[in-house]
Amino acid sequence: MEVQLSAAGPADPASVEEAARELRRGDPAAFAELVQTHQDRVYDFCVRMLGDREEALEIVQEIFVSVHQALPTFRFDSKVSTWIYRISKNHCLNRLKYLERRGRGRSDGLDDVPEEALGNAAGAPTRPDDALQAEHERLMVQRAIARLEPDARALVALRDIEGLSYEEMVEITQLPLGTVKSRLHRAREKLAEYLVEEIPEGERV
Amino acid sequence: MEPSTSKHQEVRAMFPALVDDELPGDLVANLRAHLAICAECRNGWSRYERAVSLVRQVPKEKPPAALTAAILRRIRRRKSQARRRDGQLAMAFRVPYGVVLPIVLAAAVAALLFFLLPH
Repeated sequence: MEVQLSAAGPADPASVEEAARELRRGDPAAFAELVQTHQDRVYDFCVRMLGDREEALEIVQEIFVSVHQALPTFRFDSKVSTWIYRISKNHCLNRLKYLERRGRGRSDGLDDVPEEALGNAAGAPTRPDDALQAEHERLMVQRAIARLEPDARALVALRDIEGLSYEEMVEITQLPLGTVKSRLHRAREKLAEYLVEEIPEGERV
Repeated sequence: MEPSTSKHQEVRAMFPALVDDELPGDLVANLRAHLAICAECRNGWSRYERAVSLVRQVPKEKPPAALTAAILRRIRRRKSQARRRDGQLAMAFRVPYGVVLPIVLAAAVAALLFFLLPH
């Protein structure tokens, strides 16, 4: 059976599950579909976690190697997407620990302004002033996120950037709902504090 | 009269539900009424809401188009490395039957002769 999974737009959960079942039967095309369906969100999550595009690219590949190795034992008792996020979160936390031990060296950080940000990217503001303002805010937010503790960063990224539900976050973090909510609240309060510090004093409310 | 500290804490604890639109209408009204008279909570809410809104508006990072191919290539490489490693292990533990069998056979015959023949 051919599995149809769109790489663009939201994934159809039923077809994603079906693709995973196909893969367990040893269909490489199904795995390619699975990668295409999830790689953008996993990459975005990893960029937020690691604050570095090059590191994120490297870790995304390792994440899908792990997914490929673990798929035969995946019991489909949770959504494939939350399972992949769980693997991603664990990989990112381990990577951050490793980088911290080694004295982190950033390669392609997020402080550089991609050219698309100044105009042509889909959905980007059209006026240069707006584009610069949006880019300034993006950097400010990324710097503030990077100051959070890795676990707190993961919660903010999962909820406010990836837009996951609390139920999905519970599955990913394996924490009770109340703990997820209270930790996310504390993380957001910290973030708000850091964002105030990022704004030049004269511009603060 | 200034609202009590516990009231501020109570109000702040409702920020996550308010920002997620999960607060019942009557509580929203109470909360808004408190925010209207309490500058401290109003500032706290304004910072909290702005932080969440800024994070939610951050544009998605798009991976390079070649990422899928890189992932699949890495998986193929890992599989072939694993096969090679398994092959090497099999080689290392391979029993050289051509050598071992005649030796075992000769030892068995020698043992048999030793026990059967009168000394």
